[in-house]
Amino acid sequence: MSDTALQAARRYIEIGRHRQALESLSQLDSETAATTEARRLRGFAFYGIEDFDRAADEASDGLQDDPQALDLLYLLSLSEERRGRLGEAEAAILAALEQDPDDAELLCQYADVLMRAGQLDKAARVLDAAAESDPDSPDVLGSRQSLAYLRGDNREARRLSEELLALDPESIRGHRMLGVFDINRGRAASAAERFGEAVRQDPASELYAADAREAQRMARNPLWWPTLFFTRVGVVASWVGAMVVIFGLRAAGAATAATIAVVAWLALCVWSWVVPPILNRLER
Amino acid sequence: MDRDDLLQPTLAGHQTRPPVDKPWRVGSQVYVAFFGGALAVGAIGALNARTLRMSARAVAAIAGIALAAEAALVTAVVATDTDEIRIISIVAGLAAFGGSYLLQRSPDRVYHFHSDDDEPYESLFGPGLIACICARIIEGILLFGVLEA
Repeated sequence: MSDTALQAARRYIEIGRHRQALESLSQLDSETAATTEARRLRGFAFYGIEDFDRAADEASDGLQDDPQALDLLYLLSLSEERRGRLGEAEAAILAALEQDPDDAELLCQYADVLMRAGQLDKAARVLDAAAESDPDSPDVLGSRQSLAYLRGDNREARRLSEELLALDPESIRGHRMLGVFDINRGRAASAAERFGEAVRQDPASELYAADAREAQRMARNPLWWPTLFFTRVGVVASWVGAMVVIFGLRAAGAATAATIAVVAWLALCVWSWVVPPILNRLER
Repeated sequence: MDRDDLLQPTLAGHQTRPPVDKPWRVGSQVYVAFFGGALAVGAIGALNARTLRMSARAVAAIAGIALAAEAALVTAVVATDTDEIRIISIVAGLAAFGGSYLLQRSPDRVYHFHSDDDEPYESLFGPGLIACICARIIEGILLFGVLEA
């Protein structure tokens, strides 16, 4: 009975059905439920449903029995990172890396923790080490894509996202990143599709669901559209363009047209400043 | 740096961000630059940089850029004896915003990319309005003093 329940839970976790995995694990007898394997599976299932506190607890309890368990150290680092306890997340992943310093997946997790803390230069060096260990790793590619975006290198982040999706068309990281680019360019409908794809791959993630909901709201509600126009043209380009038009009309002697352009421009500015926070409150 | 150095901990004292501590959207600061000028956008940018936990050096750089833009505005007004003070002030504000934006962009992305919050930003409307009014008063006194001297 216990073996079957463990196998079922393992299978449920593999296919992303974490709640069913927890149901299977709840059927274990007390002795089996306290084993490291059961704790490991429960930990990953809790992580899958974004209950990071209980995932971290399960990992910590499992590590008391087996302090060297790499997967539990990895799980602990993931969970602590999502709880915002980055010092603890780093300690856990470094303990894992002490045993296997060349493991690309562990190095990528360390880079992710560093990125969350804003230590982007060190994250880049860690990713270089990961790429040396496994040049073809999709994890390395995914982390490099995030790093490029966080550094403000949009072109490189987009290139890496497309490379990632060419390797794995279902890559959540790839879809989410391209969705972020779409939303940053005011293409809300396209972003909603991208985020929707991420939600289909990971329906339990509240983060992806929130992204998808926001993009859908923006695509459907016309009150958002002036703001999307602003976003699509870009902050600098829109302001430079407005100044050129307004002062160009003034220089050409078209004072009335220049005044109309100023009023229209200010109305658009005020709209995109005032309306989005109101819509955000109303739509939630 | 060898592998052993790379795997030394550097986050031991890292603080978890309190949930109430939200920054302002960096892109929205362009309005403050337009309506309030360099001093307003410098003040807002420096405060936001602190909320984003940027280094003291970066905060000082944002303030420095704003002061340099304001100094350039005063110099241009005195040197050219122009009547277009409003336009030069807008240009100075937008220039200060450009520098401030580039410095805040990466930390802002780190914050936003990892935020689980439905609304990860505070509204800039109130603080931006106050900054614009205060900065315009200060700028007015400054330019009045310089032009009268």
